[in-house]
Amino acid sequence: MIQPLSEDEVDLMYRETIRPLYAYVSRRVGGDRSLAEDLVQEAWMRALDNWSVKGVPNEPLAWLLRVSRNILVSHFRRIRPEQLEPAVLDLTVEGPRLESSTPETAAVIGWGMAQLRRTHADILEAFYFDEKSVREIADERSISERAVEGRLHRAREKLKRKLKRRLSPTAFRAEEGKTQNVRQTRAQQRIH
Amino acid sequence: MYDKHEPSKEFIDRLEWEIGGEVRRRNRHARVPPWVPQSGRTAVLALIGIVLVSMAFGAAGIAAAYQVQTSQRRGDLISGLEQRAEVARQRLKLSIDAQTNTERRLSLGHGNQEDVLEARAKAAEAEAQAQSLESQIEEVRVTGREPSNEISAPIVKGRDFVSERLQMEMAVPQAVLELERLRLRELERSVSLGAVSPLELEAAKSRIAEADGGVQAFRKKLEIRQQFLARKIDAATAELRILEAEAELNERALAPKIELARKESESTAAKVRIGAASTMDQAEAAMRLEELEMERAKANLDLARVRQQLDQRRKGR
Repeated sequence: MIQPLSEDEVDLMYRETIRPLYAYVSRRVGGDRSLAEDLVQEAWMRALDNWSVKGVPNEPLAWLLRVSRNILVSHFRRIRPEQLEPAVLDLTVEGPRLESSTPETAAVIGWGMAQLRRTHADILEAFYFDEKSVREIADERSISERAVEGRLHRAREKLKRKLKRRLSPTAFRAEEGKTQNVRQTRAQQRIH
Repeated sequence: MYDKHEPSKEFIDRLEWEIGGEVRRRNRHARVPPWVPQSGRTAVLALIGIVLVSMAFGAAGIAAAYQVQTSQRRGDLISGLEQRAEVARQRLKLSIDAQTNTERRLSLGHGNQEDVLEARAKAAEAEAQAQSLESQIEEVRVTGREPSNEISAPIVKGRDFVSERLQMEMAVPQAVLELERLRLRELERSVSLGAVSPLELEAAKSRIAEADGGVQAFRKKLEIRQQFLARKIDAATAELRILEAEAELNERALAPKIELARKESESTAAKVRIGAASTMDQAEAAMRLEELEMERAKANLDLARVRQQLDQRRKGR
């Protein structure tokens, strides 16, 4: 049964949610405006579909973010991203942020995230895209900070393995070269 | 400082407008508002036939349940519109050929001015349809969404597609009006010679009123559109003003029809008295008059409801 939606109420929710919703999507698509706008619009159209049947949820923004995430996953599962040069996506650094600074990088990262299990993807998203601290994530999930760090590490390793497939052949060679150098150094250390 | 994760104002406004339109559209389906006269609306559209035809050009924009989301869908949409545009271009070519032939025949002393104007009216309609479809394709290329003919649609990258299409489509009732005026002049000559019944003249005047109503409807829409763009009125008021204008024009266009029906009814009654018509003919003529008067009463009611809504909006501010 379709229920009439209050235009004023929807308008108010729209104004309150559009900026955080857009930022959430935009960060995950590397600031690709056209794609972010399409995906945000898709989320809102789904909201109107759902809300006119089931009523407006108590937390519209949370609802929109959850749906946007599903839309993003569907989007990234459909696409086949271009192969990247290793300089563009440095997976060897455990480092600060896995920022999807360009749409191309975002496409690869998004594709990789879409291949991960939900638990891994969620924790990576919270840390890298939503820029939450380890403590914040731990508090939200009622687990220790050490547990968060462990999960982040494992999720990152999974993502690295997925993304390796999208690196260009030169990246593979670079990765292999690094591994060989490490092996040689360790062998030399053992000899000495 | 520029933040690439901040939505542009243009996008915020555009999506807000789309969501508002979508909510209104869904609410119309879920529950017809008391001020939307279902039968009256049908009557408006039936009466202003030319407006209906031209509005149908943009039906894709109204009928769409969802907006185009991806470039794939954008491609599909453009492809569909281009197919329709190709058919429209072919139709335009045939119409122009027919018009040229009619004009040539007239220059050679065959045919008459009415045939030429009729051919021109058909060509104008075909041209308006082709241009409207081209405009819709351009809009989809820019927005990636269904073209919109709503009076409260936003400007798209500096272009006012709604007004552009209204201007194009207004050429149709204008051509029809020119044709009907010529027919009236011809009829007046025939009536003065006693070759045609004066009632024919009334019928021609009624058709002119209809065509003129079509032209006025477009002018009014353009005027309301400009007021909306100048932010003198909001989207809901703009939509209500359109309904008000349509109801006014409907009411106005019915007047000559009712006058004609009354004269026909009186004429039939007179014929019945001298045995030149049957009582069945008389009853039909009377029924026709009553139907039209009922339509006018409905149009008045629609107008009153829309004005009440507008009044409530004004007081609510």
